[in-house]
Amino acid sequence: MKAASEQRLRKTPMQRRRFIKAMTLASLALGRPAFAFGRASQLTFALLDAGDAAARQKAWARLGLEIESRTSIKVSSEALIIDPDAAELFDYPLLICVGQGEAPDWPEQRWKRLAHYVRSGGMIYFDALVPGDQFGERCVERLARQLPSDAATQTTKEHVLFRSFYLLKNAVGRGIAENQTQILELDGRIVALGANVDLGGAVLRDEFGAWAFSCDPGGEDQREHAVRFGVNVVMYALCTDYKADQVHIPFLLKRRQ
Amino acid sequence: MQDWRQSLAFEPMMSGTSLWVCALVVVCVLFVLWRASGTLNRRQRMTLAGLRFLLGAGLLVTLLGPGIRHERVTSVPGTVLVLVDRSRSMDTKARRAAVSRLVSEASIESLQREFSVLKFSFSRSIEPLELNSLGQAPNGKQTYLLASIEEAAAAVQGSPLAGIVVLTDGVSQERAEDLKGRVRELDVPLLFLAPNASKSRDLSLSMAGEAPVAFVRNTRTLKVALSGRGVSGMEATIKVQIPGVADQLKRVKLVGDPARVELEIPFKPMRVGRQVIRLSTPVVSGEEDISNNVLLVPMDVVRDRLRVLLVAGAPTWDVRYLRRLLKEDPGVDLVSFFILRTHEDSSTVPEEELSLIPFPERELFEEQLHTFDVVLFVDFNYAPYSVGRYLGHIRRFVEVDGGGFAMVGGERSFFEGQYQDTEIGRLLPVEIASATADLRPFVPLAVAPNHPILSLGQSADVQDQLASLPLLRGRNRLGDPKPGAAVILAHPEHTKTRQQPVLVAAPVGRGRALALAVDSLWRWQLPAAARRQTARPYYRIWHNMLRWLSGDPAFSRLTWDDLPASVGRGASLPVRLSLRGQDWLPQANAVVDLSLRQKGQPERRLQSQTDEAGQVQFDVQDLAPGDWTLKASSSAEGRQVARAEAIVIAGQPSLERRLVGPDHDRLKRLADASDGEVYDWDTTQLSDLAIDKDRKGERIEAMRQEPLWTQPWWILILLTPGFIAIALRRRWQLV
Repeated sequence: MKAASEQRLRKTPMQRRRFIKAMTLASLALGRPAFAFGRASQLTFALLDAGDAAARQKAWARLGLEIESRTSIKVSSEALIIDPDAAELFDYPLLICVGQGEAPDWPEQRWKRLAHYVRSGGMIYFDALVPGDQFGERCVERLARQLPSDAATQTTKEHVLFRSFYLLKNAVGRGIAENQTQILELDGRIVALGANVDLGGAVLRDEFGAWAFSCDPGGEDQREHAVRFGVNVVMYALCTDYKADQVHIPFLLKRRQ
Repeated sequence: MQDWRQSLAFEPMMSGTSLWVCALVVVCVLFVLWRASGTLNRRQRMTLAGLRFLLGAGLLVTLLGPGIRHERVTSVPGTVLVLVDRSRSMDTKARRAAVSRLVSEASIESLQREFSVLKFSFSRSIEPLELNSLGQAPNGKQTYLLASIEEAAAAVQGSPLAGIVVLTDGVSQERAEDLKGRVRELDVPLLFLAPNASKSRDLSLSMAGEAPVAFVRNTRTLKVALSGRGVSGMEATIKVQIPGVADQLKRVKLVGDPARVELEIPFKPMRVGRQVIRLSTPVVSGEEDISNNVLLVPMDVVRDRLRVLLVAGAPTWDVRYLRRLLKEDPGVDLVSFFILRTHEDSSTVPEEELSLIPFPERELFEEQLHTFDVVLFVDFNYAPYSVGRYLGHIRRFVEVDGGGFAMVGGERSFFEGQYQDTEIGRLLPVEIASATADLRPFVPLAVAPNHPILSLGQSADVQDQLASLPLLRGRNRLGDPKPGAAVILAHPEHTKTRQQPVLVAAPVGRGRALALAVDSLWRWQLPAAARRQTARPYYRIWHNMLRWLSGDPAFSRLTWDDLPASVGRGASLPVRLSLRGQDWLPQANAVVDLSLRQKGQPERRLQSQTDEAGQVQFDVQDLAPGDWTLKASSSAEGRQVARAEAIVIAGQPSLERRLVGPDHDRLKRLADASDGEVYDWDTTQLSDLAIDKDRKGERIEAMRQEPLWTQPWWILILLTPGFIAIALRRRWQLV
């Protein structure tokens, strides 16, 4: 019956138009939140549900406010938690995944799907709930198994990630990365980033508005740098290597000096 | 005078095969007899074998039918070939007059008194010459001098060549390989009648190499040569006119006769498409041919890479995927600017800790705008960045310079970006509706499914492909399309009376403008991958839009069909065009205007109507020499909706006329190799030529043949070795 109806739709333009209208109306009636024109192009933080996502959900919404106040990026006020198997995973070009210890013990198929996601243009930021924990790196290593062997590498101080908006030297969060950050690159683009600095923890506030965690060893100055690192990660996700364009280089070299 | 002449001749009595069989039989018999005579002593054996061989050979000669041939012969005069060069280099007043004077009926008759005369004209090959055709202008495009002489010599039979008379200026495009050997093989004197070199005067510009492939905004070098005859020591000026570049003057000194100077002219074309570089040198007094003082070099300027300026009002997913697409395309040279921070954003951090650079609006929209092919405004509002003053520049960039401009939707575009009543608003192919964005997701409706922008690379129906892709999320509201604009995609609520366009394109002036009212086209990339769909439709639609914006001829509604790059002098120019409608199907019964312009000539205007196949044809006659700019257009509702532009060069002198003559060196080499001579045609008549009258031929008037083998003495001689052999055998008592 469905096939017959589609056949008819192909043959008569008027019916096709009705079909499209019906699809449009149906999409409105699905109960999903209405996509405002602006919101559709807004950045929405989507946290992959790896067990600890809820612990940093508000932190990323908070980081969104900072990003919106400092840059021209429009950020959705809510951070979503998303099931790794959800169909809408691919609607979010930047995914956040936080946890601790080893990489999530997900089925192989799920990792393959995430690899398909990053190959298709998505980016995943892995971070630890506790500074110094190896969760981010473990996740990157686990995902690397699904990608070409030369995808795994590390950032350098000159990597465009550290000059996508602010001029930084390394990853900063509740902790400071002592070494360069583990990344996966495809065609010169970071598709996965494993920072073990608890970026979310650095911007998380408690119910009374106070900072939930201290930033050691740099204190408030480090917290400011954590926000800047968060801005850079998001800016990189949206602009990739824009700041590596030839037109920016003379300015940036001068400022680095 | 007649005489009888005898000679030995053969008339075989049997066919060649039978003769060979007989010879074989004779050899076999001799061999058997030789073997059978093994018991004799050596002297006897050799003597008998010799006699038997003579008998066998005599038999075979007899079978060949020997006889005495009696011929009565008469002597005939030698043949003189008169060849007249009819190539274009002979088309000067003085040369035509000289040829007419020399090759007159009286002079030919005079020559015919002593020789048999055959007349040919030649350029690339020979043709029989009619004297009354000499009044017409010589028109051969090329000259193959020696090849034509060889061809004419081969056409003569039965009479020896006494001489070959050639009226030519010696200008030839033939390669002089093994020249002496070829001339000697002819075995006849070559007698050239040529213009006096010391009286000739000519300046000529020609290409000294292939025209280089020119890429826009890339410097290339054009190699040209200035040749001169009779101008040794003169300083000549060459004027170089390149479209879009100030005229240049080059001075060169001409040394020698003939003189030749090669020049290298660097140039940097700034526009894509066919252009003409014009080089000229002033006419000097007494010049024989002034048409070769001008050289028009057609140049098809192409892009090595499409130069795109992408300006985004903020980093969004839409602009992120678009930039990635453009960066990955090796055919695109991308310059992108994103507004990363607005005036409203917090700016407490010191500048030196930021990687931000000032938005270079003046550099982009005033100084460098002309270097781009396409400008894209993606979710960009002009007002906060002092860009308003440059919007007129962008409009001129499109309308005058032929660039492409596209506005892509977003919360800072169209009405939301306050572009109504601005220069950009006037440039866009669609009215900007005074209404806020429609926030509902939708599947776009393919209004012009045949439009090349909607060639999404799959065989399925375009609308089915669109329906299979992720929904687009919201749109800027656009008003009615402007006259001549093509609505390509629309909202599903779009009707003819209430238009809701989403993707609209139109030619504007010399350029093109496009409006895309969504900022979620990126959803055909990553979200499409969730359904295991490829990102092909996303890449294809963007590449198609860029090709259309850059003026790719394949994306034009009005296209030239096999328009020639040049036409010869006096030839008609066939112009055929194909027109497609807004739906991109062949448009019948539409009026197409064609104008032809050349500086200093009155403009010519033609009009015709397309046929059922959307095609229209013009036949343009009598184009004056020079470069003609052809502009074809079709209009609807008073606005031009399709246009095409081309350049055709008419009546440009061929290479033949650019080689300054006469080339006495060439003629002298040919004459010397054949024991001939080169004569000044101003002081020589055909009758003055030193043609060898002793080179005569002969004609056989009668002939009879007397066979020898019927004579008794022949039979006697033939059989004598046999008789001797019989006698010796008896004497040696062998019988």
